[in-house]
Amino acid sequence: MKKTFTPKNIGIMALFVSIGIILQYVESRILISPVPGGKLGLSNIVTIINIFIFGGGNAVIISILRAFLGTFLTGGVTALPYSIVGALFATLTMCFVKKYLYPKVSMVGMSILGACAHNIAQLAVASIVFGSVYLFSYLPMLLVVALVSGTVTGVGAQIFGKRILSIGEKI
Amino acid sequence: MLTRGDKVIMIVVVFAAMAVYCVFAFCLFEGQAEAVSVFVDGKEYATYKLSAISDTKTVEINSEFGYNVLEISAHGARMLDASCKDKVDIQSGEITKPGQMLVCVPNRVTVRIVGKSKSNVDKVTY
Repeated sequence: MKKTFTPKNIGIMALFVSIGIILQYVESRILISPVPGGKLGLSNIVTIINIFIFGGGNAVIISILRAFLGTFLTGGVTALPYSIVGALFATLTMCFVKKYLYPKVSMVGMSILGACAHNIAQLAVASIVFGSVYLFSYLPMLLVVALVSGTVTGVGAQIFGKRILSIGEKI
Repeated sequence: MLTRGDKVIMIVVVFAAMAVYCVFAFCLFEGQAEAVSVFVDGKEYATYKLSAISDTKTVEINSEFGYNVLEISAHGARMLDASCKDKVDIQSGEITKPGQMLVCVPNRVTVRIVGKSKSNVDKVTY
């Protein structure tokens, strides 16, 4: 797909934003995390597929919009900076992996690194807000969560990606 | 479905997690706990000396962001209740070692154990 902002492209991107929001909302309502602060990140599936269809720049726009709008449904305003910075760094990391490591690293590895970047970025925001580096003591647990959730969403992206990308080439 | 690169990434993440854990467990979280400090929105709210507490002491932290109920015992602290939605601070359990923290992000509350530590990291938090 061309990267121009034609009405059709904007419409398709808006569709992906809303799919991401719905996934984020459904996840927050149905799944209760076994680890405090950890989450599955189902909307990451959409982000990965976006990177493949629209390229990095547009995928960043989509995931920031998704984080911005989705947070109003799930977390409230206090969670907003965490959500946006997390989404931004996760998407940038996955773009980097797509550009330099793909296909040596598949969507699963991409997703794991994205999840790690998401958690590190959120901890960094929290460290600035609270003025304490000790928050990073929580990082090991979050990295383990990122490993599990990244694998799950990565496999999910592979499954859905196969079907969606074949349509994406036609549009 | 998994490539060799994926497996390398997984192993690296596991080792990174263990490395960070070791840094905090063996280098930073050391020494004897002396007091419990409560911070709200980055400013110190109160500090309680552990030696002055015989059994347990329940403290209510009220601010414009919400309320938290903290229980301080002779060797640590844990969060009993909070007005926030996610209750991460309550699930975190009890903290006992210097440097360990309870964090309530929505209410901007952090509770930290202060102690005699070999390193001076306690003083360089900003």
